[in-house]
Amino acid sequence: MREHDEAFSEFVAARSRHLLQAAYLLTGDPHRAEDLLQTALTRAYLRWDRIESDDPEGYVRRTLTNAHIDWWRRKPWREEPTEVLPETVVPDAAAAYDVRSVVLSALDRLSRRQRAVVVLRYYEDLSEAEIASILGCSPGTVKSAASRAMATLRPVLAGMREELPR
Amino acid sequence: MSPEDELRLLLRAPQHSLDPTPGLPDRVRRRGRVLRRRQRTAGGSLVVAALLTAGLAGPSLVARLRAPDQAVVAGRPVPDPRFPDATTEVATLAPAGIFTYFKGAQWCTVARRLSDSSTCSPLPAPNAPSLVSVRGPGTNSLSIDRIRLAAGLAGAGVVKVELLLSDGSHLVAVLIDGHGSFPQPVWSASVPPSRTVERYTAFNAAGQVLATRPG
Repeated sequence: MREHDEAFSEFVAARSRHLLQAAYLLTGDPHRAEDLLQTALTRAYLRWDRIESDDPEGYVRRTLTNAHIDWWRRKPWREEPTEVLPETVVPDAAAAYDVRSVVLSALDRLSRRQRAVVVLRYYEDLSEAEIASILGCSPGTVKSAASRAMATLRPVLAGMREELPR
Repeated sequence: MSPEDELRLLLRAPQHSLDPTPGLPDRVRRRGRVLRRRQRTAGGSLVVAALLTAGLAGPSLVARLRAPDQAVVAGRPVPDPRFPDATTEVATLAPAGIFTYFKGAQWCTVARRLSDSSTCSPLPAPNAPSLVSVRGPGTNSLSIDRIRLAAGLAGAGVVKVELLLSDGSHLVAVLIDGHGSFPQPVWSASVPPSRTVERYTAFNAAGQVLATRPG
């Protein structure tokens, strides 16, 4: 049991920052991200014996993504009107704008599935087949979701080209 | 650089990096142990219940198990470690951390951030007007960042609560009953930041207005 706990703690210490960033990109809310990560890690802890030698990070990533999508699906208030997003996110080159808020507001324009695909594909670097397995859809669906997401994000990327880290 | 590579760089920018809560592994392990205990207790109870029903129970015992007072005990919600004083299920009203539950004869709403902001008030009398318990969108325990909820208790016969907003639009509130554990259903609606509530209206199943209340 002690070994089990130590291995789990090591995993969390090593990977929680990366996973928290993925959760943040998925949710856009630091508190919700923290909550989501804790939920996913708790599930991993309960199954640690079975997943430790396999792919614990893959398990947490899968849980994180699906818990986020399910959670939205369950929430009836999602149907309530929300504030209208600005037509285009055009960063002001003269201003020291915040990369974070521009990227998050750009991600807000995507559907939940598209957002998950973007995070898994371009942040986690997973293949279309791996993403399809996590989301329970076909690789073709992943491909078209990624392509639609890129079409939405392209103007934002163009506007931010100068600010990209080199 | 392709747009895909640019996106990769942006998503991995250090600006999105957050510091995990200190002591995260301990916190997760504690939560895991609580859940495991809960699952074991639930599993054990199921086995006992199955044995009782299959082996021992005659019709009278089955009837007694179905009696309302027994059902309440059997259906008692599992305690939520985040809200140890809750006597019902704890329901999430908003993703960023707004919750509601009952604490005995009190109805509570909690906005949870670094510190809690909570409001608990006694349940209204059974014959009180349907919209006697309304917490407007300015209530601290119903607001986090840009999320502002209005919430209240749905009195007898209320199946729908509608909010008229300052821009003339309407919102239909969501009703929840904590999977049957709430003594009265709770309604809630998210009010957009720039708008206020002009009027609340409660309807019965026939679509008749049971009560109205200015916002």
